[in-house]
Amino acid sequence: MVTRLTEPRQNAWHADGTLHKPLLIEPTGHVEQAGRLIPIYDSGNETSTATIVLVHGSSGTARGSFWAVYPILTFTRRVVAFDLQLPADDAELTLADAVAQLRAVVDHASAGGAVALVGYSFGAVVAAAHASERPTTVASLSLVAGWSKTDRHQLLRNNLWQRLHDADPEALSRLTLLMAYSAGYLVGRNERDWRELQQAVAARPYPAQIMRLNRDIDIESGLGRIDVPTLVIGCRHDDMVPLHHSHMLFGAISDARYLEIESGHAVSVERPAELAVAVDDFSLDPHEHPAGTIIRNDHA
Amino acid sequence: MQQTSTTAPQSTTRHAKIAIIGSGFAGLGLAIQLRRRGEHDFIVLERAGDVGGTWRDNIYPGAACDIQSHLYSFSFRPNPDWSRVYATQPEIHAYLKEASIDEGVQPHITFDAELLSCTWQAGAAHWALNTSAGSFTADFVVTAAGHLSDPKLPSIPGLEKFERPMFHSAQWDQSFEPEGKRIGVIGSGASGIQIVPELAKTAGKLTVFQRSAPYIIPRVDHEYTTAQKSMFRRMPETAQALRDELFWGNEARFPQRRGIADFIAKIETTALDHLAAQVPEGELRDNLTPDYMIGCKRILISNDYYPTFLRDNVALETSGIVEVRERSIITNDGEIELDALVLGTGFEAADLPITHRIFNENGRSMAESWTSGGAAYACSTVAGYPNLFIMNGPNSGLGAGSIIYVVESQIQYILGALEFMDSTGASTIEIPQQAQDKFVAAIDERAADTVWLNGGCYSWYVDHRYGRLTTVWPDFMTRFRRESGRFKPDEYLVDGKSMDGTRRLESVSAGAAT
Repeated sequence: MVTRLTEPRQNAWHADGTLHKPLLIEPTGHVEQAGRLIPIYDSGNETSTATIVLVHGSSGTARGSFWAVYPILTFTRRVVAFDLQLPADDAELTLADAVAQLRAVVDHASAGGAVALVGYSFGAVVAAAHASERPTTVASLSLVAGWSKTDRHQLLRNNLWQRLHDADPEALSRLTLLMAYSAGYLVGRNERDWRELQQAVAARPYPAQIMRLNRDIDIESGLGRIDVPTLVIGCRHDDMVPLHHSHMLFGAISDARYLEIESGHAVSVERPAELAVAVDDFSLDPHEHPAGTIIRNDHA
Repeated sequence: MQQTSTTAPQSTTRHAKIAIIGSGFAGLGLAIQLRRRGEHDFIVLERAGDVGGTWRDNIYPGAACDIQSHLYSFSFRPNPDWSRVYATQPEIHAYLKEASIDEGVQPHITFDAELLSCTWQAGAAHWALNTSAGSFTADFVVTAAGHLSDPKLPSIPGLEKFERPMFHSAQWDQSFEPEGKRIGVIGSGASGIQIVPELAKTAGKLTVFQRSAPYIIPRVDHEYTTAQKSMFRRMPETAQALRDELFWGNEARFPQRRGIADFIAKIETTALDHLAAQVPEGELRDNLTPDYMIGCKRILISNDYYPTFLRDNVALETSGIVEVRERSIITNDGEIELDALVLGTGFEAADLPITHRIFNENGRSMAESWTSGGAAYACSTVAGYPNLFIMNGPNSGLGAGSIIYVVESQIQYILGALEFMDSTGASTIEIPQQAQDKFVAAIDERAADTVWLNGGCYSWYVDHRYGRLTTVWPDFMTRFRRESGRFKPDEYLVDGKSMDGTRRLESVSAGAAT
């Protein structure tokens, strides 16, 4: 579906033919919340469709989760991403805190109407929690590689993560590679991309505060209150948040439809176009597929 | 059903429900799908002597595809036996030929039937086709004449004077022997970069005339093992998974065309590092370095083009051609004597030659009707030309991906339209100008932000008569399938009437809705 823009979108090209800088590095602004400033990345283009709000995962930053997906969505949509602010001095991050930050960002983004909320991984948990509390601010909800209750399998990994984080960061980055990416993706990289991937993972370990919070997630009781059209996206080869979690979300949310992407947990890197198009199409017409639909993959 | 023409008693005009012009990937794909659906009332008019289109015509040395074969093939006819990642021309031609025989399409084809004119007969509500192999009428016409089908010759002063062997890459003279000869190759595009390394092997002296350097990335090619081919055959889902992976990999390249810095940085580094790795620093490397934004022209894939210029018998000419003489080329730097001249100068993709042969009831050609370049609703239908569908027409090309995906999308669109016409029993279907204009305006809006209109190069993607991007689809391929690959009757005039609520209910009850 073509989205007609009501105002000219910020063009990718400067008048002199050069490009804009990479996105999700310099915040476009800040949202104030509980005495702190949350950096936001607002593409700023006005459209006649719902603004997309992206909630990042355990990588800790919008760029970490969405560097490939955000720009694709901005072709036709206004997109707002943000970086979750962590409490100082390694104090505990609570889900309530994360949800409060998201609420502030959604308030900013929803001046023109309810938003298309998209949460990835840990961000899906936060997004689902927000939607269960503030459904009128959410026109549609996309939960990508998310979960509702931390289980033994996740704790196994989380414990291992913690031990390696403290004792062996190099081994930790290998664990992350192994669990975040599908085998096919790792095997399929050429030499240069494989080197860069290893370097990128080693350079950006997940914030420990988010990983500790991940141990105790339980939003099951709130899922029944999510009264907005939802798309649950599960990744077929997800070893970090396996498919059964997405199956549960699909069952628990009444107005949910389900899509599987052939990818590892890092779907936004492995299949950025597929993820972006799926989220974009769904949020433009949330009821194109009735509740309960398992959306067929349109194979090439 | 045969009719005897009243003006020429000895000739008969054959009638078919559907006439398909061309038997390359598009024409064959549609023919196969028609037969599989039990629709046998169609003819295929092929101007050459064999099927295959592009893959029949391009027999120059080194001719191969630059899209991986498991993706560059019909999804409904997977081939587990592709010998390598990027198949060569003979293999692709053989694949198409076998498909045309196996699927029973060959008896539908009239070969050596060049379309001379295709004129709408409003009274009879059908098309009258005049070809070099006789006359035909058809209720529906589908042009599947390709978009890289008609060689484009460079407009260089004196070209016609050259008295030694000279031919376009797509009209390769098989009797030509390059051994020891002084050969000039004009053009460094997709054909040129495949030809040059081959000719360099035996040419006495090879001169490559380059107007604008292409970006080139490494070609990751290998042969498939017997085990792999057996796996693809025994478990077709493994080939489908590979096909999907290749497809989405190509989709992820599209953001490079939309000025997204992260994507561009990566591909640009890949290309420039490839050049640096293969050509030492110096004037040659400088001359091979493009001066425009990557993706503006087609990004090429080769491991042996750059190294060719390190050979003693190969020279790169960039000073510009002034004129051609009987046995030489004059450049801004001097005169170069040549024994043969190869024109790797591409094809007419904007002013599609087939459109000069399609006429509305007033005798106006489609080319004339396109007053600002190619324009078609859903990239398939043109106002004023009822019952006619164009494949590989306006905005159906790709800057990164397999055109077969587009072809299959267009096949589905056409099948949907034909099913709709069958179920409603209507005679004519035509898109009104306003609907077409609206569709095209949306295309132009998307095109405005692409590298093709902002990248500072001169390419065949743009119709330079009007400055419009009329050849490629300015969005993801998946969006093409969604918007132009699913037939919806809503905007059309059916038997001259617009689709109102009543008509729509009728078509739904007749089972035509998809």
